[in-house]
Amino acid sequence: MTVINIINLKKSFNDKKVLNGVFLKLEEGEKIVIKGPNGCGKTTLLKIIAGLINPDEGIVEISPGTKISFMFQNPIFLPWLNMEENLNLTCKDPSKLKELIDYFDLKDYLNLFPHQLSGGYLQIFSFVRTFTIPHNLLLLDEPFKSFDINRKEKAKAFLKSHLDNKKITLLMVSHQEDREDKEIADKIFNLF
Amino acid sequence: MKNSLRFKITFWIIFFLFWYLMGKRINSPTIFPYPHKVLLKTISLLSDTEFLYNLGITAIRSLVGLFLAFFIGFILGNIKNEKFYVGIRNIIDIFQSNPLIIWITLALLWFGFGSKTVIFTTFIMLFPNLYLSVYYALKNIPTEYIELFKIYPISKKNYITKFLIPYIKPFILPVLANSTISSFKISAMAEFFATNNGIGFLLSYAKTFLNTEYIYAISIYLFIISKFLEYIFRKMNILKEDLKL
Repeated sequence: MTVINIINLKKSFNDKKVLNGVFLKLEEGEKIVIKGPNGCGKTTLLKIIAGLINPDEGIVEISPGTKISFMFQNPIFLPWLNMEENLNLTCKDPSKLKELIDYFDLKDYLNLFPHQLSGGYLQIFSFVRTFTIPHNLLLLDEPFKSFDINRKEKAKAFLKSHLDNKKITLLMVSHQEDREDKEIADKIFNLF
Repeated sequence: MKNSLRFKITFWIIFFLFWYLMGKRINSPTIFPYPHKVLLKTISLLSDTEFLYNLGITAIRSLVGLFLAFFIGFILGNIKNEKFYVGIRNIIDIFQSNPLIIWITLALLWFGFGSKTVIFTTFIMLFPNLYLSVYYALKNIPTEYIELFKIYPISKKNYITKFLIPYIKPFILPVLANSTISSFKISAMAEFFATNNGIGFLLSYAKTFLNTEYIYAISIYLFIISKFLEYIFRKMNILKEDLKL
């Protein structure tokens, strides 16, 4: 079953062409990594698929009943809530949340507010949040960007097992030539 | 002693000294009463039930005007329609371009002598800033939060209590605080022309009978109330601290 079918997608911002005729097809359970230099439209592509921004031209078909979870490139948390309140606010799967908090050893950081955490920790919390809502299409925008090596390995291991167990389709955006991309992805595409 | 306190004390000593010397020079209690006489009058008003009763009436009128301006401003500020905003903006321009006295005069014609005129005038003067603060706060919700709640939807109750109110608070509270401080002054002014009670009326009455000490004493109370509210709002971190020496 085709989960995403993108035909001739075009998007510009202030006359600057970001996406110029993108074609992409993802079957259920497929894991694809998209790579490319800064400003080539990777994030824009993910946001269009997630329905966060509209394309200028082209067709984006998402199969009916697809539940999307999206990990933003820059972690977004409400600054007036601590991390526990932030996670609970959007969480639809408390047991999964607890499992991930334990897995990443984040208990001691739950009472802290976003401004009290490093970029790396915010990224981990953002990663955790992605798995706390029902989904069968996972959109990850540079998920391991600010992780330290230890947490990167853990996150990667978790993601692999998560994808193995279910028919989850993955579309991940990555900036550098990362080793983990090959471990996770079925296919790697370059966006220019 | 802190520099700022020393400066304040020095300032007020010079101020009262200057006032005393002016009083002596003018030598007419009807035009420029001595500061100590005004202070005695101010203190005596604390036990004057008629004064306190009228002060209460002004407070109630100003609070009703403030509440209406905030309530209607908040409801209308939530309407995101651009055409509606342009319409309201035009009305606000009319509100703001006319001096207060025009609104008092019109309100007198529309509502007659009494509380309605005072409340209406207070509403007209406070509504624009309250409406605009709500409208612009909501209009400028960062895209990242809008995107967050599209992907991670939350209940309406949580959206309002956990997101909207905390987000909007820093935009609205300073405006609300300033409006509260202004409301008392606006109501007193409207009462001057349009009622037979309230602080404004007492001022009008005192002016008629050339009770200058009384006028000065009332103006000191208005000053104290304004500064007291300002102090409270600063302590609550709603208003920013003023320049300190």
